[in-house]
Amino acid sequence: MRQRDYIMAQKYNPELVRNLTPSFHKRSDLALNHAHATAFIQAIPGLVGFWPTAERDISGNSHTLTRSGTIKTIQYDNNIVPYVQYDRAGSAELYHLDNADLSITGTESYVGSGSHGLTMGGWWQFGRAPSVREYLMSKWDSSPNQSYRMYKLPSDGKITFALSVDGINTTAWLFGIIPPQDTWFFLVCRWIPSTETKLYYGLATDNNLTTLTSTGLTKANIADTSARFQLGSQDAGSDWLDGRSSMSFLIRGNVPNIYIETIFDLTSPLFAAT
Amino acid sequence: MAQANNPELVRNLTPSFHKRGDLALNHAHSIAFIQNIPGLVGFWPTADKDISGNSNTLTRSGTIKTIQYDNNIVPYAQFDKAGSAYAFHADSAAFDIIGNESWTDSTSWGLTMGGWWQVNNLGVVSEVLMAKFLQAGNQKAYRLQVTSAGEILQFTLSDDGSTNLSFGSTFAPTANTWFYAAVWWKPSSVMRIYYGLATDNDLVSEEKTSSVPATLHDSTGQFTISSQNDGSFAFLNGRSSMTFLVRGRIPPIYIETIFDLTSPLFAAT
Repeated sequence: MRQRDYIMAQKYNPELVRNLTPSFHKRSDLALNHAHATAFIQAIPGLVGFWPTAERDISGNSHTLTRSGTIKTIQYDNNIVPYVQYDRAGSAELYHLDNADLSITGTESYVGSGSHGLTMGGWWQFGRAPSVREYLMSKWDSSPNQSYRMYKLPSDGKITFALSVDGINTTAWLFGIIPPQDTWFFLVCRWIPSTETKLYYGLATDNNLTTLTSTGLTKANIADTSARFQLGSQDAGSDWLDGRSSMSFLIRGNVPNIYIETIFDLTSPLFAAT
Repeated sequence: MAQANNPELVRNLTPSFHKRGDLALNHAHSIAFIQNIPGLVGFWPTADKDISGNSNTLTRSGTIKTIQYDNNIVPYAQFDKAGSAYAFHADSAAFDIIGNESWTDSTSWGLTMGGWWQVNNLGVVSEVLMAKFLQAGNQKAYRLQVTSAGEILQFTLSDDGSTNLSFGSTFAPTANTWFYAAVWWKPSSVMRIYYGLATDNDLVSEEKTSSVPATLHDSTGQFTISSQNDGSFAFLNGRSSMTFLVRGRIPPIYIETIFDLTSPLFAAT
């Protein structure tokens, strides 16, 4: 066989990968992926808050959240994944009082054409079977202070995103996603005004990101209300989550698909190791 | 043995290893790399939010947009000259870079600032990229701009608030094309301009070594991106991305590394 023929016939060689690993970064390196994801998210334009492990915000916006109820914000799953533990019975939640930065309307003058909207998500675990409403992220209080919220339905555990254009009336998107109990899942909701609402969902162990898009029900804006921003509850403390969160983020604007896919790719190895 | 590069082998191994050209990883690396630079005053990926850890978030003014993506990849700020668009921070000690700070070792005294830019309407008037430069009341300190004459990158310092000590490079930006520009000041010794195009993947520097100030004026003017004179003059019609200001002259290899890590992203637009 000539040298060129040999080169062109080169196949994947696990032994070669093992030999080269000490000299190169493997794609599955947990620490590197974690570091990459953290830095990658921090520079996203319009990032309002990034709460990777606890109440502390590392977005640069100082939106540190207040702990309330029986909540633990410093611990590690399998000594690898930092996470927040929410105890529903203990009314556990994290919150920040209303301010202009947390009030995402989708009409901001300083957002470029085509980039208006809202993107929020992170990694989560549900600690109980569906029986009650459990909120993941929200800025939602009683009427007329309703803005946006993402939660699990009590009937079957499907994920729902809702917003209000006026603080009073609700528009909800029910997605056919039912995350398994006690399992880390990646969940991002992205709303583009008057265009679409999309859910991104994936399990770390699958390494496969699923998207569900709704274009049939569109809204042009979100109400600017005085509701608190909350993780693990809504309504200034109700419908608490029994579960976990990690790497949670809130972004003003609709983030390109490739950004969300990259966040999933960079973070999923970490959660797959639990 | 003269081992040749084997593209097929690279393709086979890529799923297992990180490639140097991976956009997302380079982007992430550059962010963490810049955040760790000692003396970092501010790091503004899109000209408003500061992710340096110093909370030096800039205020938006005029027709400016700070949340958008070029080719769905590069986040950037868009400045509309006609709309008097600029971003600023009121004068504060953090932005007053004198060049003899007691908490900085003398081997690191100086100033470094830069980022990625696009100029959309060359040849009209001077367009300031970054500055703390207020002419009224003699409050000039530092400035990076594209001049109207020759349309070149120019780095200006002032040690007394009134005198311009300028150095112009030979680099003339092409309209609507991303370029990297960073300036580096070593007190009493060097004023240097680095520039490069993402598509060239080649960073060039030019410098002058005469009439270099020993210290800079402690200006009361605003720190501004896309204008000078507290936002009343020389607005940019263009874009900024990944802009940073550093107290001190960082090692040249840092400036080169930032270019190496960020250029693949901009080359993809």
